[in-house]
Amino acid sequence: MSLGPESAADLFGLAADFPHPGWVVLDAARDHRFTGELVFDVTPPVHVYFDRGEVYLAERSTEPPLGTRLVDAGALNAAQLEHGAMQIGDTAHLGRLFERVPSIDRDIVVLMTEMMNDESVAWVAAQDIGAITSTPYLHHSSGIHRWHRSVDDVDLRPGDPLPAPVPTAAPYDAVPPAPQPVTDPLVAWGEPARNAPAPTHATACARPVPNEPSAEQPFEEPGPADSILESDWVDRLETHGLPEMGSDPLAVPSALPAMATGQPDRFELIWPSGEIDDQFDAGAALDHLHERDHDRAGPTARVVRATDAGSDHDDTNTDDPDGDDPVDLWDFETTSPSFGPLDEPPTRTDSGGGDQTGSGPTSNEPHLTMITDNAVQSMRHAVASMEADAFAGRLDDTSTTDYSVRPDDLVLPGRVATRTESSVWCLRGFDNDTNRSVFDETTASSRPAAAPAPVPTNGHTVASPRTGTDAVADPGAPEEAGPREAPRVWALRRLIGGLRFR
Amino acid sequence: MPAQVIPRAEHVFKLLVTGPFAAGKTSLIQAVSQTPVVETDVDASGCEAAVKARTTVAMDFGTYALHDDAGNSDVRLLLFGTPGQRRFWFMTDIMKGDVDAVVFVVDAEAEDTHAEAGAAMRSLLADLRVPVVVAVNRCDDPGDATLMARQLGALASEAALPCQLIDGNSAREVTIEALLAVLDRLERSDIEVLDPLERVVALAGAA
Repeated sequence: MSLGPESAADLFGLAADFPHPGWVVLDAARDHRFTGELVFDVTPPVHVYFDRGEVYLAERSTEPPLGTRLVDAGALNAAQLEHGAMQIGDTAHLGRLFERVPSIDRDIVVLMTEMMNDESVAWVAAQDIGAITSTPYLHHSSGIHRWHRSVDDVDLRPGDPLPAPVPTAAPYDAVPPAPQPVTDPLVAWGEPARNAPAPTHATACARPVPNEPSAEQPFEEPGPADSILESDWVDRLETHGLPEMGSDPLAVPSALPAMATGQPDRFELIWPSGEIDDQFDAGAALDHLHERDHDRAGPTARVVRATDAGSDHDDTNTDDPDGDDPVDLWDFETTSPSFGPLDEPPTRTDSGGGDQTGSGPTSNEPHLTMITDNAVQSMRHAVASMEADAFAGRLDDTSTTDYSVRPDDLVLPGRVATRTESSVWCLRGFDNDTNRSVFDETTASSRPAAAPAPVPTNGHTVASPRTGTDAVADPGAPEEAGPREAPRVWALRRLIGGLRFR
Repeated sequence: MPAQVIPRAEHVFKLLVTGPFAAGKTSLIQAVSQTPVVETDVDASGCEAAVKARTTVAMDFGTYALHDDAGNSDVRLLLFGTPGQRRFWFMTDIMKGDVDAVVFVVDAEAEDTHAEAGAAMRSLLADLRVPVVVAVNRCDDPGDATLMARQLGALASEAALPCQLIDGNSAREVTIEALLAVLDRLERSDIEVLDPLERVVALAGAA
């Protein structure tokens, strides 16, 4: 409905005094809490839209549509406008812009709109208005009045009493939130709830049962006419095409053979303060053990053998006088699956040509399962001593180049496995030629070539300490003259030997 | 008379000897060094004077060298000792560059220094990725030394050695332990990594 100037003047009580400044008309519309459109008869005409006295849009008739202006202002991009606007005829409806495109920054859009409105309102407020055209309850075709006020908002003025509560409303503590019935049949499909538990084989093949209302799917009591809406469409499916229960051998649940599992190892944490915390499981122990390099200032971990845990895991164990790690020796050398369980570190057999796969002590050898730091230290010292002895003997033989096998030569102690920085491990074993010293490697070219073929074991290659991994890449490649080791390693060995026999 | 130019050693290893005040760092270097130790000891003052008469304020420096047949030193070990007082910790930051290993000396009987020593060691090792040997001075029990090292923050893989640094042999043992740790690190880094193709070839060859 459109009203003439006189009617509009009557509406605001300004009929006898036109022309009026624009701000007078705006104030009158605000005082009357006008809702609708006012068209100010100026050049160009200005359309001002009110919602209960508040201006939510003001635009000149010559201006482009609001969406275009927002894109030009940078508050939106063209794609957002295209997806967010609903085109109804020639009008782009922006009322659901933010719901359709959540990526839009609502604050920026609203702020930009307010700035445009302020500019237009400020301009028209300063004009002399000869006539106005009012259309009550006519909102802008873009629908942006939905941006500012929802349908549930209650219009309150200062001093107004609070609205009466909804009859069903109650304090949160007294009544749990009641499920809201779904009133829109278009969205009331009984889609399976995402939070519902996954159907099992039995439930999937079971006969369909009537759907029951639940908290996730709050439906009203189904009636005979609309039962199709409230029932789950999945339940309407028949089991045609599905095999009968038990007919598919792959689908028949069968019991797996029992796995022989021993008593699990117990995991302990030793904090820097000396406190021992054993409230951890074995799985966590393994994970922590593999990452212990990153926990320099943290606790020390250890795994207590299940066989020992049954007796006593006290730190005063006679096999562990220092009360420390029983597997520290192998903490860097036990993650290889070919080595067996964690407590079976790779060891070298003294036969040299026998078991080179690093099979560790078994549960039948409990005396080998408790490796203390004392043993580590002893082994380190033994290694150093033997290397130093070999170095001393090597100095005595500097004049000779006869490196033939001699029975009195020392056996290279070496290490059984070394860890690289990667996850790939290389096991260093021992060949049959044990009558060598580590310092003989400096003159490898003069030694008889007796490199054995590498023995692969489950992804790990046992290589000769002389040839290292070169034998794997090219077993027949001749050795180069000069020190095979890195010169720095060789120099360091000399330095250690010199210090030892200073 | 022109100064005699000493030829540069082919291989140089640098050890950093650090630890709290009056732990035995200077004694360790003096026991190992072949050359007169360059030291910056001055008379101790304050409460430190009650512990010992002189203290290092800047650094200790000692060397150990191996000579080839021509008499030239081809392998040289440099030992750098740091001051123990907290106010001189900046010297540790200066000297810690390019070290091959750290010898952290701690006095087992000076328990009042352990908390600060642990913080200093963890702070130092947070910056350095080098082997460390914890030398527990005035201690005879390896178990006690290990436990003390753990309390200071050392890993189980890092050596803890009981020692009596007043004895030269014990000091050399500590130094050798540090060099063994360096050797261990060098050997690990020298291992080649087998790629899956090489594994397959090796398996096929064995079959």
